[in-house]
Amino acid sequence: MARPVNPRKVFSRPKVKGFIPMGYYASDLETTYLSVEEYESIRLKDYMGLSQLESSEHMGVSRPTLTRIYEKARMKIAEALCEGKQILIQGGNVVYHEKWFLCNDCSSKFNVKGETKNELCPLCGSTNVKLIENDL
Amino acid sequence: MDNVKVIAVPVMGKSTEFKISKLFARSPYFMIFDEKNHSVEFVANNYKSEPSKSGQSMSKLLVAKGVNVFCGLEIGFNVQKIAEENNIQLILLPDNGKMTGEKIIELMSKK
Repeated sequence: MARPVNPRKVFSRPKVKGFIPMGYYASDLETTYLSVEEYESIRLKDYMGLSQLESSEHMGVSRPTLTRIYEKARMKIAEALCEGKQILIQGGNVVYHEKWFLCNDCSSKFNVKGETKNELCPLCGSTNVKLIENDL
Repeated sequence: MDNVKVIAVPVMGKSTEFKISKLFARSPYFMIFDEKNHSVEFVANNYKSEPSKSGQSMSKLLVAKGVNVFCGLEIGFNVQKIAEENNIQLILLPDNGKMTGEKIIELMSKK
């Protein structure tokens, strides 16, 4: 039996759920699915400019695994750009470094690192808070 | 994360009546509110006109002053990086144009 895959560590949820192509040849029917771990590899390596080793340490995977995830992400993005496909960021085997909550009383959003239990709004102290599951 | 919050809020002037600045790193002043003794301090942002990395420089100064919560309408990537490194909590306020330093103190004093 194959060894189970360890969840990859991700700093925070992507700000958007995906990207839609524009123009005459844009095909919004075809979709490329980018997993959250693939998005994170692009964020760490290309956006933050970290090395593969540093990125792999951030995600809690080996360097060769990071390279594999990153290459897959690059191929998917290239495919979407060249073929005019929309990109949806979803799925993947990940755990988040932090969670974001919305306070229903003062409408502020706040982050919490690590384990979360009975969270209070750090601004107004309200218990009427909810976990933001999708984009911010 | 510490229980006692020392919160930094970007404000447009050196008084609690001023509105919250839309830009965190390029805000003219920061209001530092200590939840424990309800003290308010204003710090001028000398880095606001820097061509780059003003967020990093200002954030480091705020961390050195004992701040453990950054609160603003928008918090940029460089500030987020410093926050992550120093275990600083982030609060994003609703952009309703009504938020002032006074309102933040009022909300924090309600607890």
